[in-house]
Order: sequence, then structure tokens, then C-alpha cells
Amino acid sequence: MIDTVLFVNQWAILVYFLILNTFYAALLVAASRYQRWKLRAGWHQDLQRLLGSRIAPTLSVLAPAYNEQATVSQSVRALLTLQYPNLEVVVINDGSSDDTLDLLTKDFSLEPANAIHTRRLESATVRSIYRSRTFPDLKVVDKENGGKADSLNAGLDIAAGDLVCAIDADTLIEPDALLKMVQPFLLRDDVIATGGTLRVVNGSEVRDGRVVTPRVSGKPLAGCQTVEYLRAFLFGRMGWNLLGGNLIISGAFGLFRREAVLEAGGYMHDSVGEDMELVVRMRRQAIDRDLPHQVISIPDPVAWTEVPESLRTLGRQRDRWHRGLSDVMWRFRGMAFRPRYGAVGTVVVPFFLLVELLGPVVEAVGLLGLGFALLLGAVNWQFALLFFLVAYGYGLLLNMFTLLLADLGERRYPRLADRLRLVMWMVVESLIYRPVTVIWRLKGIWGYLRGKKEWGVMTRRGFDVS
Amino acid sequence: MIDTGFLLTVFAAELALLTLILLLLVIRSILLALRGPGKRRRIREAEIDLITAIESDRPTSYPFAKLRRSDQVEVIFDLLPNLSGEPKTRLAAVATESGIADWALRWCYSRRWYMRLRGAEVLSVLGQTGPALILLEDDRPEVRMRAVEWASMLPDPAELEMLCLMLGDPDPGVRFTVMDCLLRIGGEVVEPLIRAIEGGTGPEVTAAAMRVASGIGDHRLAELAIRHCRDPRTGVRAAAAAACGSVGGQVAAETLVSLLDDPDQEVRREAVNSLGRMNSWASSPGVARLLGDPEWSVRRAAAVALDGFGPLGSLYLRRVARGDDGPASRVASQALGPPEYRVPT
Repeated sequence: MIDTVLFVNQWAILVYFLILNTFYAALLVAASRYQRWKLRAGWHQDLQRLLGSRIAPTLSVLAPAYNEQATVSQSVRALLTLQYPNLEVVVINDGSSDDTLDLLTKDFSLEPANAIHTRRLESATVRSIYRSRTFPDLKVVDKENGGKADSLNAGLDIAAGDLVCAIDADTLIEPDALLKMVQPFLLRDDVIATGGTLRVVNGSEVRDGRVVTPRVSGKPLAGCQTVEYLRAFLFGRMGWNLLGGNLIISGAFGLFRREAVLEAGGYMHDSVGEDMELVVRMRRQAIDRDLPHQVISIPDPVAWTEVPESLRTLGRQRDRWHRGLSDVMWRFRGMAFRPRYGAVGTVVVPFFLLVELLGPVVEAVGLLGLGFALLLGAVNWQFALLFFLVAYGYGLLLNMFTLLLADLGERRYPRLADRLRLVMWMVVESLIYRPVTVIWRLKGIWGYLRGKKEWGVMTRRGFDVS
Repeated sequence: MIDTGFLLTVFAAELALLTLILLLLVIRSILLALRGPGKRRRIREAEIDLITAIESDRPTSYPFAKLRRSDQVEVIFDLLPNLSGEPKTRLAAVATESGIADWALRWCYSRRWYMRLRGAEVLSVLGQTGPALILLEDDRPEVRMRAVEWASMLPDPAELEMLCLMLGDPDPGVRFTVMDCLLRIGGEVVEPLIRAIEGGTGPEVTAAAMRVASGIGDHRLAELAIRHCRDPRTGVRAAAAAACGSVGGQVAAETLVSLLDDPDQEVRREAVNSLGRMNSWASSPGVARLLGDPEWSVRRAAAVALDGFGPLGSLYLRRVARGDDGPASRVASQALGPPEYRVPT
């Protein structure tokens, strides 16, 4: 009896992996088509022209800051030098207990301002609003502490741009990132949000807040995450552009139509996956009201982020990400398999539910079941080999194709050593790193079921250490 | 149960594909590592040679002629947009002599859309005339966008007429490019714009043309803008209200005041914005009324306009700020600024 159960279970999981990897292959094909169109259209040549446009949409960058006295002035200066014609920078001091506000006041000659604003979103009390005498496009909102989502809501109320860009304090943004990110809004009427490709900064040469030479880290964890980010952003998100649009815009760097965010009610305070929650809510509400709802990812690497280099920190991060995903999937479970929501309801949400959320459960059951089945003789070594070929060999092939695709894009790694290192990490990521992340993702599901809400502490080394 | 032969075939297929991709990646990496610096060096040398040849009036540019066609195009794209006047003309002449323009012209008639796009790009950078008018009617929006930019560089009357009609293009990217280019051209587009509006080409073209008119602000558009403030279509009325603010004048101001009671909030907002832009302080009573508008964006526009009217506007703001109307009082207070900055009444 047990033999039969194990036998059927293993075959079912094998078929699951086969379908899953074939779907990934479809995403990869879609991403390749998008990449090919992008290369042929060569939009990058129009960027400087957009810079001189009088009718480019106005844009506000929202930068929450909590106890950032060490880096706040440098970060704000970097934001003020971003290339965009109608740019406003809104820094939200989230009740910092250090000298963040004093430093900003001193370095940017802040004075109390008469910013006319609305209170459409829920946020902690705003103490005052300042404007810089030296940089008229800089506003600073001083508010009581309430967290990142709360700060972004306060910033959204005060921002005046047609578009708003939400960023993390520790994201390095390419100087022309906004010009690239704004393009989908100009080319299509139905876009409500765009996300760019995030790359891993660990190991790269960074000078004055800019990545001078992209490098691949020699450290296994950072190296594997470099590969993981390449895969996730290139075919994971770009592929969705042609298959129903995205559900995730990274909290580290995303551009939104402000009115669409305000209509949706802004960021939720009680979700650990607040960035994904907002995107899914915006899309659901827009579809319910028959309004535009496309969310587009662009292949250009627009920002760089530091990834954890210790197992402990990485585990905490993945645990939180998966708790966030579980929360969002539970909140929007009503969208799954509903033709009313078009491709989002019939393809995108079911994929996130069955693959992204429940994938680790299936993978764990598959691996443990395979061990038991082999021990009990329910399956033979031939089956075990087939299982690995379908689950991991196929996955590795797709990863390699991703690397080829990434190689055709912008800001590829110029040094031969880095490119070979990337190939090496690609193999390690597929065969060792991914199965290991199953543990953290399972922990995330368990944590969500137990009602765990905290973010956990993230330890960062900083960008100056390359 | 599972045929070992089948298993080996799957294994061999995966391994072969993996090896192939790995080989491709490694070979590509090696080639890029070997050729990349050399190619960059050659391009750099050609650029330096070209610039010095142009500056020292030297007739030939040896390394440029030796470059591959795609590299020559890259050099032209690198240099030409950053030059102006005589050096630009001379560099364009060098590029034309090397045959790039002929190639680009041929690309414009290619069956492949991205080749037509490339052709238009190269010719527009070279400042050459060509089949822009044909490409303005291309099937692909990417090509039309580039053709719009090309045609707008040195537009002839036929191209200007065409550009104005393209304000109603079905593709948003093309519409944006057309508006942007018409604004860059400036006063020259006024007459074709008037003809496009009066030609009855549809509300989209009229509204977009009015938006362009508001950016140009030419007095010849005043009568048309005022007339369209009474258009039954809200989009056109709102755009016409914006245009009125740019052309100015007493009649325009009176028309805008009449729009303050428009049922559409976008029209009211544009009317208030325009009155503010015209600094029409005489309209303060009407604008102050809109501080109590149900729509926040209209209230905001009214507060900004009053703030810009100077002492009279401030008087109205202070009066409303002291009043009982919650939303109106709040927006007026915000416009007046923090209490320590307010002038006592």
C-alpha cells in the first residue's frame, strides 16, 4: 500500500516538475521575444531626447529614511542628480531618533513649506513639511514613526508628480534609470506600474554611489543570488509582460501612476509583502472597474541592490519574502481561476499560487518521498535519475539559456573571469542553492500559518566595500 | 519500468544541450574579451581622427574608412549629436561620402521594420532629407515615431501638415512624439495646426492640437481656443481652457471665468490653472469659490492660483482659511503656509 502511494506520489511530482519547467520555458521564450523587440527598437537612443521634453510626465521619487544619518545626505544628492526633466524628490523622515532631519536641514537649507496636500491615505501624524532653499525640487516630510509602508503613504499624499517612484534607502540607481522606466508609460495607455531589472551589487566596483564596473562576487551565496536575480528578473518578470503582466514590482525600485496608487488606497500597513500586495490590489481593483491595469517589467538593469552574504540573514530574508507571498495569495485567493480577471486570474495568480507559493512544499515532498521510495523499493534508480533530469537538469538548461539572454542585454559583465564565474554559479545555483532555499521558504509558510509578522533584522556590509 | 535506453537518450540530450550552451557562452565570452577592447580602441581612434581632421581641415580620415559599416554608424551616433554648426556639417559630409547615407536610404525601403527604423535613425542623425513622409505612414509605430523625429528636424509644409494630423495617431507613443516634436518646432506649426483643428479631424486631434497650442502660446490661436471652450466634448474644452491660458487676453480671461462653473472637474481645473498662469487677479472671487470644490485637484489649483495673485489672492485665502468649510479652509491654510509665515490680518 505504502509502495503504491509513494509510487503514485513520485510520478505526480515528476509530472508537476515537467509541466513547471515547460511553463518556465514558455516564459523564457516570451522574455526572449520581448528582449529581441527591445534590442531592435533601440529605445535607449531616445532617452536624451526625453530629457529635453516639455511634456514628459512629472515624477516624484519617494525615499523613506529611518535613522539614516550616516548616508542620508549622500543618498539625497544622488537622487537629485538622476536624469529626468520634471523631477521632484520627497524624503520622508520616519520619526528618526538620530540626526537625520538635522543633517538634511543643514545640508539642503530646509525651511517650512506651504505644500498643499491631501490626506487620502492612512499614515502616522505628519509633523511638518519642508522645502529646500537650494534645491527647489526637494521636499522633506517629517512624520512620526510608522514603518516603510506608512512613510510611502505619507509621501504619496504630498507628492505632486503624475508618476511616483518608490525606492529603498540602500538601492543604487543608475543615472538614466527613470528615463528608461518611464518609457512604457509613454508607449502604452494601459500601464499603471513599471519595474526595472535589479542586479546584485556585491563584488562590483562602486564609486560615489554609482556602479563603475559590474563584477560577479566570488562568494558562493552572493554569486548564487546574482544568478537568481538574473533569472527572476529576465525571464521571471519580463516573460510575464507577454503572458498577462506582472504581479510583483520590487519594493527597492518601482514606478507607479500616482492616481492609480491613491485610488487603490496606498500601501497596507499590516502586510510583510506590502509591495506585491499593492500591485495585486491595484490590478484587481482596476479590473473590477474596467480600468487599465498593465504592470510591465523592463529588461534594462536600472538599479543595484546588496544581497545577504550570510546564511542566517539570507534565511531571514527568504522567510519574510515567503510569508509576504503567502499573505498576498491568501488575501487575493478570490482572483485565482476566475476568467473574469482575464490572464491575471487564469494564468498569473494560479502560477504564483501553485508554483511560487506551494512549489517548496512539492519540492520537499518530492525529494523526501524519493528517498523513502528508493529505500522501500517503490521506485528504482532509473526513476530517480529521470526525476533529477526533469526537475534539475531541465531547470539548469533553462538557467543557461537565461544567461545567454542576459548576455545580449545591457551592462553585461565585461571581464572574461566574471562571465565564467557566472556560468559556474549558474550550475551551483541550480543544483545546490535552489534546493536549499526550499527550507527557508517552507519556514516562511509555517511562520505565516502561525501568524508571524515581524520583518527580521537585515545586516548589510555597505557599498563602499567592493 | 523505465526504459534505460530512453533514460540515456534524455540524459544525453540534456548533456549535449548543456555543453552546447556552455560552449556558446564560453566562446562568446572569449571572443568579446578578445575583440571587445580592440573594437572599442578602433572606434575611439576613428573618433579622435575624425575630430582632429575636421578641426585641422584635413581632408581624409583613414581609420574611419577602415571600420566596419556598423562601427562607422556607431561613431556617427557617438559624435554627431554632440556637435553643431560647421563641424557637424563636415562630419555629416564625411559620413555621407563613406556611403552610410546611401545604405541608410536603402534601409528605409527594407521589408524588415527594424531596418527601416535604423535607416530613419541614421538619416535623421546625418540631417539628410529622405522618404520621411512615406515612413510617417509606416505600419509599425516604432518606425513612425522615428520618422516623426526625423521629419520634425527640417520639416517641409507637407510634413508639417502630416505631423499635425498625426496628433490623432492610434499609438500613444507616436502621439507623444508628435506633440513633443511640434512643441520643439514652435511657431512654424501654428498655421498647419489651425488647419488641422478646423479640418474637422476628430476630437482626439482637436484636443491634442489644443494642448500643443497651450505650449506654443501664439496669439493666432487665441480665437480658436476661445471658440473651443464652448465645445460639447469635455476633453476638447479642457484642452482649449489650457490653451486660453497661454494665449492670454481679456476675452480669454472672461471665457475662462465662465468655465469655472463647468460640470466637468478637468475643465474647471484647467480653467483655474490658466487664470493663475495669466495672473488674472480680477477673477479672484470666482477662483476663491472653487476652494470649496468637491474635487481636491480643483481646490488645489484654486489655492495655487490665489497664492500667485499676490495680496488680493492672499486676502481671499485668509478669509476662507478662517471659515467653517473644512476642506476649503484646510487647502487655504496650506496655501498660506505654516502659521509663523502668515501675514496677520
